[in-house]
Amino acid sequence: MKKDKMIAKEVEQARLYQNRRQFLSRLSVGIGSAALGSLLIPDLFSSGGTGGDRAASMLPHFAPKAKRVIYLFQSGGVSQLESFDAKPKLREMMGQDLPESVRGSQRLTGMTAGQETFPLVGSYYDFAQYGKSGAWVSSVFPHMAKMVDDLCIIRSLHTDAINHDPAITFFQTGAQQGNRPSMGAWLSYGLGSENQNLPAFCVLVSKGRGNGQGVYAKLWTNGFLDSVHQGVQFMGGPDPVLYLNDPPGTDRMSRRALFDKLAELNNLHFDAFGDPEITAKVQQYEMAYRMQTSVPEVTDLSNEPDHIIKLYGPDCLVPGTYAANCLLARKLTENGVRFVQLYHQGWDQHDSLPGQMAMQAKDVDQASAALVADLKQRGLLDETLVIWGGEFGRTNYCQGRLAHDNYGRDHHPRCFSVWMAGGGVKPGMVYGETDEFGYNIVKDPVHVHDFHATILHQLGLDHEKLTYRHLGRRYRLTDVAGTVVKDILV
Amino acid sequence: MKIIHSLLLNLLIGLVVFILFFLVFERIIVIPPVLQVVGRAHPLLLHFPIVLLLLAWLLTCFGNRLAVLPPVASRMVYGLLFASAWTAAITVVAGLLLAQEGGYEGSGFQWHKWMGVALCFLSTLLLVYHRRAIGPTGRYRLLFRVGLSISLVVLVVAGHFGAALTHGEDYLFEPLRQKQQKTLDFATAAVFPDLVYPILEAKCLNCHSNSKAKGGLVLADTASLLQGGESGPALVKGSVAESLLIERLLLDLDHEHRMPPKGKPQLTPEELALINAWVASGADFNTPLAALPMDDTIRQLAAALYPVSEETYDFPAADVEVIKSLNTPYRVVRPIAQSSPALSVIFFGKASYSTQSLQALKQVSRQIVSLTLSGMPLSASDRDLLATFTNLRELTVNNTEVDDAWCDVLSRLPKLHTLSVSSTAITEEGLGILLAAPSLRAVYVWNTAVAAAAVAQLRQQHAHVRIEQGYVDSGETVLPLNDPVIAPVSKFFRDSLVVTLSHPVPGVELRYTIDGSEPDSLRSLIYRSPLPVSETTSIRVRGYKSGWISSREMARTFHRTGAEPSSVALLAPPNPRYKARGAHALHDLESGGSNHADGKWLGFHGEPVTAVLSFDKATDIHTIGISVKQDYGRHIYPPQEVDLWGGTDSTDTRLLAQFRPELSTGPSPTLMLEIPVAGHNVRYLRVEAKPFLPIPTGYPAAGNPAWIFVDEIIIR
Repeated sequence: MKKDKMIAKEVEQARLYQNRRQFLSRLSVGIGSAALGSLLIPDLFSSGGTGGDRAASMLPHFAPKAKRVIYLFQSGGVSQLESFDAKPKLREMMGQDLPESVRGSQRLTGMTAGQETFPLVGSYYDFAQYGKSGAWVSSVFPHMAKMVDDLCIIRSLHTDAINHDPAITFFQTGAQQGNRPSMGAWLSYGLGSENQNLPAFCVLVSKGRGNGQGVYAKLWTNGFLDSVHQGVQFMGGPDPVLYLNDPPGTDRMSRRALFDKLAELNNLHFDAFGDPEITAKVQQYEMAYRMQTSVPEVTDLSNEPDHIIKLYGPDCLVPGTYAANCLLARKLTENGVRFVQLYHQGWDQHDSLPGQMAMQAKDVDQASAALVADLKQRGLLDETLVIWGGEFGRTNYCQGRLAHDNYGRDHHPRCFSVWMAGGGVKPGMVYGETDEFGYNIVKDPVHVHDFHATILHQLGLDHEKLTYRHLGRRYRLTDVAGTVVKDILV
Repeated sequence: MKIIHSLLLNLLIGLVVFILFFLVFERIIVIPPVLQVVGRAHPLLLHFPIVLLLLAWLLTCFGNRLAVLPPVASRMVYGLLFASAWTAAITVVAGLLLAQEGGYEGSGFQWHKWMGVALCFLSTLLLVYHRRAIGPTGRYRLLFRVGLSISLVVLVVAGHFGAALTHGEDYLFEPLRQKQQKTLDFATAAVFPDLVYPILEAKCLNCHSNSKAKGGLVLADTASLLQGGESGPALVKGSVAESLLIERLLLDLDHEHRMPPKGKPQLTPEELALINAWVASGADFNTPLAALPMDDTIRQLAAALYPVSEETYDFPAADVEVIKSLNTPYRVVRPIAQSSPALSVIFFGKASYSTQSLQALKQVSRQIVSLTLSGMPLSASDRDLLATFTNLRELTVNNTEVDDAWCDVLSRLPKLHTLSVSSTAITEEGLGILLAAPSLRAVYVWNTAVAAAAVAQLRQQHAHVRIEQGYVDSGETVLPLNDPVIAPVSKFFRDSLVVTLSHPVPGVELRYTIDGSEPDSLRSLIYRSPLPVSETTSIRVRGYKSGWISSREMARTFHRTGAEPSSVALLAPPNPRYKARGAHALHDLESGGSNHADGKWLGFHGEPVTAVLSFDKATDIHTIGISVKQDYGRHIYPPQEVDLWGGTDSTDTRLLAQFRPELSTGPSPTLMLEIPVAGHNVRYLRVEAKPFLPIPTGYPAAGNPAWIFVDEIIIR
């Protein structure tokens, strides 16, 4: 009896016992089914997910509407209440206090948080409806007003930041703190360069006459992406791209010889180490060499016909002005530059808004409208997404002393207006709505992350798939948020 | 146990009889709400007979192989069959109750109903047969198996029609069909069959097809659509208000007549608007889409519902290596997206272009859908090559030699829909040829010889094509010229200077004066070459060009300075925010700009500016000039008083001059304080400029200490 029990026990143990071979063969079945399951995860093994690999494909995830972007950034925070968001109620209630119920407990900047009253102030300028779309535009933008049927005006953008630097950094990089790649760098990383004789991401800066805020090179940084994706600033004047010209005494022939020799050495190095960064460096030298001819060609405005000068306004021939930058943006776009980022400073009207806004608008209105018209007449607007707007809006109440012809407005992140044109965005559309005080959004809010997701979508990129692995995790332009605003797409 | 068993068996027979009764008196039965709840449990209950019957069938047919002992198997089969017959009966009862709620009609429903009933009867019959004929030791197994298999078939049929009722026909295989993208050929599509019907098909036919026909309404064909349902005709052509179809679609979601009902897939706003627009337009069944004007609501909605670019291609992808080999810095060949066979090609760099560059693309000519040749030196041989790119959708040849001779080739590209020939030699005639191409949808003819009037006419003839002419300078736009440029920027010079005048706009005539008079277009001098200047000179200039308003006047006074001090020192430091290059700034010949913080202005707040200038040799001085900034709004004022002390050294000085500038009401941004002195043999000069302390009343910021900003001191 005891023996039986012992045998039974041994049998049971033998059954429970698994040797390595059995374990491994079971495991292989397990791995097989895991592999089978993984077939259902489409991008598991494609290049999109990991840092560095993406450079191999550099193709849109799906057929894009837009191939290029021109971003006319109005730095400082254009007042939506004097541009595209007409609020007659504010004129009616001029000087009356902003009702407590409208603001609630939303934060204010340190500049007005201490104000005893928040007197509402209506637009100094009149608004009128234009075009088939009947969009309201203020009288300081007569040229843009004529183009409204080509524009998609979004009046319901909102952002997280309330001060210039974090807000503009947020707009450019999807994060307020900086050190992340700028939107143009992401596009360069995601789509590559179209014209290898020019950088994929170009930056143009101009200064308006209004109160301005600085824009710094950190806004067009490549962040943790390869430095190839960094924005390249084009300046007004004889040397549009710094350090591009040959130093005095060097001619092109000797430069060529130098590059050839350098490439030889670098290739030796590459054979020894196999680091792809070395090849990238050789290519960068080659590109710089080609840029020595392509940049003067593209920045030369002398062949622009008279009617183009009339379209943009004569300032387009004065290097460094906003108008000249718009014209240059068109030329860069025509030459396949993926992302042209303009910055125009001077929109920070804490005081003297009526005077400053008129000056600012005069400098940008004609050229902005002209750029859209010019792209359109060349058949380029369909494939170029033009964006116009600042980093936040301005308050509906007056900052400082209120006079009927003089007032100021503080920063307002809760709602502001931007417009887009071309690139598969619905023309002649006004999207989103704010309350009658122009303080809160009541319909179709668009967050900065949504805005980014939409831009990427138009370029054929899924914002959730365009990632880069860095410091142990994947990063996106849209962080972990963002929804494509399908309503505004054609 | 036995009692319960026979009780249940009897009850089952009772249920079957009840079903028979129900079927006979269906039309006159009224269901109380409690039973309606039972009816709605039908979709839940039906899963039981399905599984139970399937298990019974498996055990019967494959019981032997499953190593179940026959007596056990037989008892298990009986038990399963018992349970399935019971649940089938309850399911049928529930189903009949549910059907009484109304809304289920059509052939599909009838099939489902009768198959369900048949299944219930069959399984009951089999149960009785099993009990009587087989038992634990019974024979006639074959008949039983056949019967069970038949009920399984009946089950599948009933289940299929039931599923079709709930989820719609073809629910199961829909994912396979959806892979084909919905596309719309705008040229050949008609409004009803290609736009309206697909919406009805997707959102309405589930319930309003011939097989279901809820409320007696069938929307599957035009005749039934016009006929309407129990509540009347669905459509009144041209009248949205009277059309029941629209009314039901617009009812509140919670309304009992709302269509599609709550919980079913709803129409999107675009779809709703489209049906609305179609009814409003007269609900014609045959209107082709192309017949509608470009800005017609239906057309625009069609564009919204069927985005054009989501195109599928019928050609295979080109070899990746071939594509790679075709790419150069001047020719970019790329698939339009990952996993797309279509290629887009752009050429850059005029100098590196030749016909061979285009010729090389021949091996991928089938795949190229988008081609940009803007600015390239194209020739007739390029033109002939283009004809081989038969899948081309978009072609951009702006700023090239393309002329009317090209139009024939271009118009024969079968798929070309967007063509840009801006800044080419195309004329109206060529445009006419291009527009004859049936596939063309947009053409860009800016900056060509095509006249505006011709475009207007062609637009009418070819309403389906977007003809974009862009900005035409009709001469009506008269803009003011911008400012002329006077160089150099700095206003100070020592011995002589060459002044150049220029204007950014080519062809502008610059008229200038040096006598202080206002420049005009008649008497003033015309600028032709740079102007040498050796004395203090004021230049005023204005630009003129026909077709433009004359520019603003630009003026600059160039001040000559004579003796050069060997050193300049400030006895008190400037404000740390505006310290420029220290004392050196006062004799560096660089003038400050309009911005007081540009690093060229020395700023002093409420404190005197005291500068000491030393000379190597004794110098005769007759004028001292101090260049200061004025911006009263920013508290920047000229000094209230300037004292000039001079002598041979610091211990031997005398007051050479004392000067009090006058404040103006509209100050110019800079001011040169010219102070006459009578200084002989001066080696040491001290300039003391005292600010307004405070700013006098009547001026901005009165009562505050004033700022002084100075950029240069000149000596003559």
